[in-house]
Amino acid sequence: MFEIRLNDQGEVVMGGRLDAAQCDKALQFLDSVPTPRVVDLAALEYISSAGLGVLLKTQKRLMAGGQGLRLENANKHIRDIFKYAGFDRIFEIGPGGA
Amino acid sequence: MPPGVQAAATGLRAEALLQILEVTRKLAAPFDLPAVLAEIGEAARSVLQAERATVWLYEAEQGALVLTGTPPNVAPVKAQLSQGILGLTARSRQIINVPDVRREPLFDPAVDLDLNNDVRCMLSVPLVERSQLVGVLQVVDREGFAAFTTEDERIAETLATQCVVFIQRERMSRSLQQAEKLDREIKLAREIQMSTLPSEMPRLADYDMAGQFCPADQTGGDTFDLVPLEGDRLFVLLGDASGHGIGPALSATQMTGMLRVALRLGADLDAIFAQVNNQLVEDLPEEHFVTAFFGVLDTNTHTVAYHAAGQGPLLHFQAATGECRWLTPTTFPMGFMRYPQVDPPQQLQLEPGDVLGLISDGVFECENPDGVMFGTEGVEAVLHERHDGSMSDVLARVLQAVHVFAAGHPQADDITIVLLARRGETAGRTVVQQYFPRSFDSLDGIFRFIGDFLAARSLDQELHGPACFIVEELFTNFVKYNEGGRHDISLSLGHTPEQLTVRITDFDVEPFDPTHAPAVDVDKPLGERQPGGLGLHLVRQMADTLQYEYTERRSTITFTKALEPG
Repeated sequence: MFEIRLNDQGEVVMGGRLDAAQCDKALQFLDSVPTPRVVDLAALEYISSAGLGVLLKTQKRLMAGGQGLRLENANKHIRDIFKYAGFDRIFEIGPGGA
Repeated sequence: MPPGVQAAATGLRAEALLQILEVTRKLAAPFDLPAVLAEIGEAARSVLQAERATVWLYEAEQGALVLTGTPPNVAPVKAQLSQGILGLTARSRQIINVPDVRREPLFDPAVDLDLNNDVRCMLSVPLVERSQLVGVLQVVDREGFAAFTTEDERIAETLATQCVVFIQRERMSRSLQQAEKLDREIKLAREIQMSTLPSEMPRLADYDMAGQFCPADQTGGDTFDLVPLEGDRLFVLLGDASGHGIGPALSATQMTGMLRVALRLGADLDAIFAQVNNQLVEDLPEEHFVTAFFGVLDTNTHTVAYHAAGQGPLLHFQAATGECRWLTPTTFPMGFMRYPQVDPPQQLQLEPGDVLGLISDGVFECENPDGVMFGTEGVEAVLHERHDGSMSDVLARVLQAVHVFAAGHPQADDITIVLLARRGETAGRTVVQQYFPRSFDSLDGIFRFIGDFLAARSLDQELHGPACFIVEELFTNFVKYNEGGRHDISLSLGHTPEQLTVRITDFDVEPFDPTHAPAVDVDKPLGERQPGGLGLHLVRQMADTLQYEYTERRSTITFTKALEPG
């Protein structure tokens, strides 16, 4: 199950599993938010390469306007993937989660 | 005028009665039809003091009366039921007494015994049993051309009644003799059919197998064969020829023979399949066909490449899930027509503990006295309970279950079962396997499958994320790059104390080698980076080892992750 929403602070909150079957839903949501700033990944258990693609695409859109995403509270597995993928050089990576 | 034998017989003159009894005694002896007919004719002539008497037999298949002439080399004379007094007797089933044929317009010299154009009077008597026409007894002329009397009619009727009994007895014994001859021939064909079956099971590392053929009484054309090939491979055949009598047994025997010759000549699976079919098309009668499974098991890769021509359902018991998959035939039965093209063989992966079952329809279609069929459920029940046992034990139990189910209902068709099991988990190494439909919707099931495997074996839960990531990447690549693919994708998980091994296999595909995908420079600025390729790059980063194999249009990717001790 994958969940994506905005919290009271206007941050994007993702939960569950962001796999290839869910990335259309994720991209649609992110495209509907003009300038998302923070993505809270505390409740995200899993991300696949397709999920990384969604983040990359959104980041490209924002960087064109001088903005960017900050990825917060990712778990260890997801932080490892960010590292392997070189995301730490493209995204601002916030503090880690559980 | 019904025969009314008893009533009439009391009125017969003693002399005639004695003669009839004498005829009866004589007729009890000969067993051959011409002799019987000659005796009857002679008896009628003698008792009625006539010039000639002849028995015409009714041949229902021809719809005609036939006079089996002596000498035997003379072709039988045939008369239609529309012809002459003879025909009218047959049609009306009534005795016809004609005092002077010259005044009878129906008289037809061609059929009414007028050999010398000198017939004057005639008595024509139907031979009837239980309202079925057996023939006609014709008696013509007597001394002084005196017409036949009413008493003569009764005598003739009594004689006719006796005739019918003897003709029928002779016909019945003849058909019995033919049946006995046919029985002997069927028995012989059966013995030949049996002799082509393998006398013992081949021995192959990691495999246990059993095969049995249980012939039905009369019909059936089942066969099977297990032929070890070079390169740790095994040819597996199961065939079921349609039809009744000797034909199917011979067709089955012929197929086994062709197969052995082809194997000896080194032909491959597809060629054998096509050639045997072509030969059967030429040899089999039009309405006959053979359903067959032709497969080659490779005991190194544990795959079975097969063609199933109208043969199914095929059993694939999967140890990982404990479920039975029933596979459908790949093409239509053999012997109908040449295959326009032979598609590549289907591929089946056997994981440890898996069983491939080839089962002839005599099992599924076995009926109990209520007309209910044994079906696939009966087989599944045995497999669920007994799959850990030896295959000969499983086979015996399936046969026993069929026997109990039939509850004395006779076996209508041959029963043949071939079971092939890859041996189960061995010490220090466990493997489970499952097929997943080629859709992104399978991902949830895949993650659960991996999670359950790790949890059930108390393996490092930290591996769940990376394992899922790698599998998803490989699985979705298979789905994306083989869009028209028809096969489910196989995922197997195994582990030793040291490492987790994951294998994912896609069937009937072009090569797709993730180990040779171009490297991605993750240090590049975002604007220059393409999202594609990143996933495979990460897979290579995250897996400890990553191997790719491509054989027989099958892509297999295997990766390992080290397990933390304890």
